[in-house]
Amino acid sequence: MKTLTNATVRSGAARDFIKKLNSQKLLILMILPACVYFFVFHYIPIYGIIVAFKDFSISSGILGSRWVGLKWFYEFFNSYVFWRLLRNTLMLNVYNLMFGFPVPIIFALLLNEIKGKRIKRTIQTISYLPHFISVVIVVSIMNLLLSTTGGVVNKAVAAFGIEPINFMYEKSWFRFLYVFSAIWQNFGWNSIIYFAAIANINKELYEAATIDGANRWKQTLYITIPGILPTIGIMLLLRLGSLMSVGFEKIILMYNPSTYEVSDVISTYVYRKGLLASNFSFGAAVGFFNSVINFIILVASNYISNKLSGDTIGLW
Amino acid sequence: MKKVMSLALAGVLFLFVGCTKETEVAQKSILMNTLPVELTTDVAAPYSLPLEKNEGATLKIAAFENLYGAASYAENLPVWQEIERRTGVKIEWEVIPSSQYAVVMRTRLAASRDIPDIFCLPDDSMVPQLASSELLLPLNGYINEYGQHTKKLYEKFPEAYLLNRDQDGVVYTLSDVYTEGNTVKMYAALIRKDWLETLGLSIPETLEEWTETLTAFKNQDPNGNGMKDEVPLAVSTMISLAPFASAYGLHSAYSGFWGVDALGKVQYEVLTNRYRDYITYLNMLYRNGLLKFFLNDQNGRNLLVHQNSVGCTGAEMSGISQNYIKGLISAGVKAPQVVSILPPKTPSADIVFEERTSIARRVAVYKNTANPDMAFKWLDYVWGSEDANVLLNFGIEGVSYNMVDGKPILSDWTLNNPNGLDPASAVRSLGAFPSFLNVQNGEFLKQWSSEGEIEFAAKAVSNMAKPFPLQVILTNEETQILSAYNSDISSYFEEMQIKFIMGTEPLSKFDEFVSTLKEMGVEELTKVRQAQYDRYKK
Repeated sequence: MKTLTNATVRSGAARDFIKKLNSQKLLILMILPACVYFFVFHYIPIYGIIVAFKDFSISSGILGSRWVGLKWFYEFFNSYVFWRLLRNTLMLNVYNLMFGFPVPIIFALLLNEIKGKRIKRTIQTISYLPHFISVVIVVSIMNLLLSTTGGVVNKAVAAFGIEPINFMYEKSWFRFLYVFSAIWQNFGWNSIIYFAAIANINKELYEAATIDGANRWKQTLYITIPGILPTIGIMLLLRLGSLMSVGFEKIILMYNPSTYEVSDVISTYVYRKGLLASNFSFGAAVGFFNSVINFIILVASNYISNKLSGDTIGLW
Repeated sequence: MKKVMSLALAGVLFLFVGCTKETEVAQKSILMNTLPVELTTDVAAPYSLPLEKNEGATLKIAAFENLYGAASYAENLPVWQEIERRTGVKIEWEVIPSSQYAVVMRTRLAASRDIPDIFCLPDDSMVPQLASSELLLPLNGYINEYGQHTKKLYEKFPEAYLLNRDQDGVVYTLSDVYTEGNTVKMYAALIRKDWLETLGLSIPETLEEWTETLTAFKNQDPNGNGMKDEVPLAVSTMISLAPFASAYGLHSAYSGFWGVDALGKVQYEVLTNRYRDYITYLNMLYRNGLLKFFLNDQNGRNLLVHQNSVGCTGAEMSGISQNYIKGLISAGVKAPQVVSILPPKTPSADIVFEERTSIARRVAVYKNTANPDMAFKWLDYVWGSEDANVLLNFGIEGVSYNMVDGKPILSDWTLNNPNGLDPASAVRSLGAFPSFLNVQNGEFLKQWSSEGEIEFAAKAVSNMAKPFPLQVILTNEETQILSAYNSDISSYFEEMQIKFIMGTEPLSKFDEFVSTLKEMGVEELTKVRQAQYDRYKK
C-alpha cells in the first residue's frame, strides 16, 4: 500500500513537472541558445585552466604537457614587479569606481529633470557617442590635445604663464588621464540603464508627492533615488566583481617606460610576458589568479550587500 | 576455407604493412637526416625546372601580407604567377597583416592543426620551441641532396647559414637576408643640412660638436620664424639615440647593449660606467631642452618634422629623408636638405656604426607536409637562385625593369611611377621586394637611391660593425632562461633608462640600478649571450 502511494506521489510529481515543462516549452526554447552558448564557449574552455599548472608545450598539447604544480604562481608572486602590478591594477579600478561610478547616475538624474523631450534625446545621443569611438582614436586625440608642441591644452596652460606639462610622460598624470578619458567615453552609455530604471518608477508616486507639497529636490531624494537604488546596487556589485581587471589595450596605447611605475598593470604584464614571450602557462596562471580574486570580491560584496539591505539588493 | 581466407588476408595485410614500412624508411632517411650541411661539396641530386610536370601540384604558404597594402599576395600578383609558371607549382596563399601575424600564427601552431606547407615563423626566436614540438622539417638532408642554390647563397652570405643553424648544426629555417641591402640602405641619424648652412655650421663629427649644433638649433632660430619653437632632436624610438650610444662605444641599435671585448668575453654594457656617462649626457640634452621624446607617437614626431621644427631625428631608413623633404616643401620651406650623418666619434677617435641585423623573418617547412622534396626544391629555387632573385627584387621584365647589356635596370615606370608610388611600393604592387624570403639585391636598391644616399653609404660602409648575433638559435634551456628573466629585466631597464634621462630618477641611483639588474638575473642572461656568441664564432 505504502509503495503504491509513493509511486502515485512520484508519478504525480512527475506529471506536474511534465505539465509545467509543457506549459513553458516556448520559454525554455527561448533560453536554450543562451544556455548552449554559455556551456560551449564559457564552461567547456574552463578545462584550459589546467595550463596554469603545467609547462605547456605546443607539441604535447594541453592534456599532454608536464605538470609543474604551482611553479608559475611562485614565479609571479616572487616577481620583482608583483606588488606594483597589484597596486596599480587596484588603484586604477578604485579611482575608476570612485569617480566613474557616480557620474552616469548623476547624469541620469539631471537629465531626467529636463522637460523638453527633444533636448533630452539630443543630449543623450551626444553623450553616448564617444562610447563607439575606438580606444586607439581616443588615445590619439589625447596625444594631440596634450602634446607639448602645439597641443591645445598646453597652449591654454601657457596662456596662464605656466610651463608646458609633458602629460603623457609624467607619472603623476597617468591615472587622472586614464580615468578621466574613460569617464568621458562611457558615462553616457552607462547612464542608459539608469534612465530605464527611472522610467520604470510608478508615476503615481510623483503625483502623490506633488499633492503632498514635495518639490523636485525632495521628489528626487525620496522617490527617484530609492526607486533606482536596486539597480545602482546591482551595477555596483558587478563593478566590484571586476575590481582586479583592467583592459590592457588602452594602457598599452597610453603608457611608455617613463610611466610604467603607475601604468603597468597585471594584464599588460601578462601581455608582455605571456603573449609576446610565448609563456602561455605563466599567462594562464596570472589570469587564473586574477579571476580567483575577482570571484572572491564578488561573492564577499554580494554577501555584505545582502546583509545590509536585508536581502533586497543582491545578485543572488 | 575460412582459415585459408584469413591467412591470405593476413598475408596481404602483412605485405601492405611491409611496403609502407619500406617507403617510410626511405622517406625517413632524408626526413631525419640531420648530418652536417656539406657546404663545399656539390649536391647529390640537382633538380631542374619545372619541379612538377603534372598539374595540380600545390603548396600552401602562410606569409606576412605585402607591405604595399593595396596589392595582396592572395590576388596572385605577377611576380608570383611567374614563379608558379617556372616551378610548375601552384601557390595557395594565406596572408596575414604583419601586425596580426604573430598572434594568429602562434595560436595556429599551438593548436597544431591546419598548418601550411611553408610558413613564416611568428617570432624569430621560436625555432627551438617549434623544432622540439616536431613542427619544423630539418633541412640538412635536403640541402645536401638538392640545395644547389642554397649552398651558393650560404657561400655568398655566411650569416644566412650561421644564424639559421641550431646548436647541433641542424638547419630548420631560411630567412630574409639583408647583408647586401645593408651596404646600400642604412639606418642613420638625419639632420637638416640647410639649417646647418643657415647658421654657418658644418656637419658635427664629435660629441662636443653635436652638443654645440643642437644648442645652436635651439637658440639661433634656424627656421627663421622668429620663435624658439625648434626641437633640436626629436626621437620616437629609443633606437634613434643609437648615434650617441656609439659615441660611448655602446651597442644599442641592433645589439641590445650586448658587447664583446677583445678577448671574446660578452658583456652587458648597461652595467658599465660608459653607459652611465651616456645617460648622463642624454640627461644633459633633455634638461637643456635639446631632446624631445615622441614614444608611441611617431605621427606627432612626423607632424613636427614636416612643420619645419625638427633639426635632427633619429636612426631611420634614409629613404625617409625624401618623404621629409616632400613634407617640408609642401609646408613652404625653400630647398630643404635632409641628410644622413655618421654617429659621433668614440673617445678612441673611431666610429662605431652598427650594421642592421643581417637576417630576419625566418621561413620553415612543416614537418608533415605531403611533399617535402617539392617544398624544399621550391624554396631552394625561390630563395637561393639568381634568376628568382632578379624576379623577386626587380619585378617583371618589361614592366618594372628592362635588360640593358645583360643587366636588369629599373624602368621609368618604377622610378617615376604613373600612379605616384615610390619605387619600393611600385615593385611591391607586382609582388616583388616581398615581405618574406627577401634576399636583398644591392644593385636593385642602389638604382632607386638618391645620389646623396649612395655617397653616404659608400662613406659609411668602412665604419660599419656587425651587431651582436642575437639571432643565433637558442637551445631549449637557453630559451627557458631567457623567458624567465628577459622580459622583467628589459622592462625594468627601459623604465629606469628613460627616468634617468628625463631626470625623474637621480643619476646618483645608478649603482642601485646596476645592483638591482644583477639581482634580477642579468648574469644568467649573460651566460646565454656568451653561449650564443661562442656558437656563432665556431
